[in-house]
Amino acid sequence: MIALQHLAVIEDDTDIRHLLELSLTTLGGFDVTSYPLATRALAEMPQHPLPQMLLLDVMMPEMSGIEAIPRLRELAGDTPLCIVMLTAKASPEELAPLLAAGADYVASKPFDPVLLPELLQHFWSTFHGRI
Amino acid sequence: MPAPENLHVLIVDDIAITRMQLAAQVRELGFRISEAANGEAALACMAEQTPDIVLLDLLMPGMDGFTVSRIIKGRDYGRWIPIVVLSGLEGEEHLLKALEAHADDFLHKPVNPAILSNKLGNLRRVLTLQAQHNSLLSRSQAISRNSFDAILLADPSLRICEANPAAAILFGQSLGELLGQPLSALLPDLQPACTSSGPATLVKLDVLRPDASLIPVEAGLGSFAQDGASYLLITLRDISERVRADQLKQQFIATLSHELRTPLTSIIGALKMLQADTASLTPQQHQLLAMADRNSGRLLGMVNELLDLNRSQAGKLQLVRHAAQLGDLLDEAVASHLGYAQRHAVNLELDCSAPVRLQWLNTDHGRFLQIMANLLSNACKFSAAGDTVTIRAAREGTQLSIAVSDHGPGIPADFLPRLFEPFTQADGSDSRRQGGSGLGLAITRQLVEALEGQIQVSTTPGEGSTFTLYFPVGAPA
Repeated sequence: MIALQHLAVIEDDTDIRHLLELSLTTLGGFDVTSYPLATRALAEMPQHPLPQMLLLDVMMPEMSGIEAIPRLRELAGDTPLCIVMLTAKASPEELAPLLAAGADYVASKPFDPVLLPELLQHFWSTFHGRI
Repeated sequence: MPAPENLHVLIVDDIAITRMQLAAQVRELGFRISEAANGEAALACMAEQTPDIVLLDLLMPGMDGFTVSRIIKGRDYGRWIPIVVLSGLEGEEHLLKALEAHADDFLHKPVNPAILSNKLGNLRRVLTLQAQHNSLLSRSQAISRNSFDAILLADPSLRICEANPAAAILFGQSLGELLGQPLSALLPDLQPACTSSGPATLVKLDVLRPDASLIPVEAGLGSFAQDGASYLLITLRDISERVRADQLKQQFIATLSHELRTPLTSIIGALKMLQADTASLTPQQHQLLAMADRNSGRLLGMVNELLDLNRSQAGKLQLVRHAAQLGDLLDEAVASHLGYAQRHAVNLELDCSAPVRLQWLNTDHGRFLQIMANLLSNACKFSAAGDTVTIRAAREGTQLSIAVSDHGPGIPADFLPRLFEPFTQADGSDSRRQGGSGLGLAITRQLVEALEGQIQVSTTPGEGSTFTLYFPVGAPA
């Protein structure tokens, strides 16, 4: 299995974005590129190497996470891209539509940034088992 | 119409002496009198001061009694005015003719005082009934006409036979259009069971209007028997504003709780990151961070409770039910609360016999634990250090009961009726001391009912409280 190294974060809330960067770089030791909007990510991602995993907020201005999924998949082409949605909605009945929309995993907010890298590693290994 | 003891009798006779004698007799019997000497004068009296009874001589010059009777009965005075004809003629032919002219009764001249008294007495009784009937009718019409709630009366074939103006407004149809329509065309979701006799019931329905729009209403259904058949009385109250307010409230809470979770994500996340770096923290800094972390966790708990209540009130609670054994469920509930109980220095004691442990429950695992968590944390919270909280399970017929008892201060009697309502705690000072949003028991009851169970409470001030859950025994997995 290829080690998880390169992640991208798409999150409009500045504080949460910084918290994610901090957790993923200092505790997880990952390379992280972050974008404040899905539209920005779609415009800028083609100029960089494709990330292995993408943390995607659901409710964002301009383009929601759900709307962004098919565009991101299109961008990735044949390369497998593990999409983890971050949502402040907590109930099981609200999570199911996110998976149906094409997310690979869903993590709920608030998350524990200390445990987040471990959780993402776990997602990564099961994602690899699937592809 | 005047009171029955003061009825007004018009005496019509062309012979003054006869008229005066009759007037004296009738006045003696307790009636008010007016007199007319011929047919024209009688009709004028009828128009000016309509009497309750007319004593009418048949043979008069000019307009005779037959004609006067026919004219009076042809007019509408808004009530029945009995006419008693008087005749000194032999034979019955003219009496028959008078009855054909719509007179109601007759007396022979000279008038026998006893017969006069009896006949007027009978009329007084009938007129009294008529007065009572009219006043009841006008009262019920006033209620129906002035009611802001729609009132419908359906006949035994469930067609509308009466409707009030508010019904016409509610259904967007004229009164004439409503009459005769089948109830099912107006209230399509009214269940036949609702229409059976018995005490009045209150149900929520939608009214169907001709433009196909639906209006939510609260419907009171009652029935009454008339001529051996059962009629349905329906009162309808438009509750669209209440429904709209509920929707707005639910939307508001959903948005609010989402908006609250976003800053909480940053706060809780930042605190966790700081706490992870234990080496560089002084004990005091550590303590302060733990305090902030604990309280942001409480805040999050309240936001979650608010969401839960909102969802269960909106009927959006999704349950995933599986068969599980009571013993396993209770073990798990107790195990996950041991830490909480230890912090309050409270002992948890599970009292569940081996046969009861093996009983099955068709339940939502997560929601069941949430119910138990609410009851156990309340019991611990209100217990003194060293107390024991008991969980006692039993089978009672087709039900399983789970009773959680504490030896706390008990619940004040005046608070009991509101115990399961949202945003309530016994008193403000208590709420601050014990913490919590005041939503726990409201959510607990909603969850219990969603799982087809019931929750009951018994309490003795100063001795403690017991919350008992009842669930139907489930089938094995």
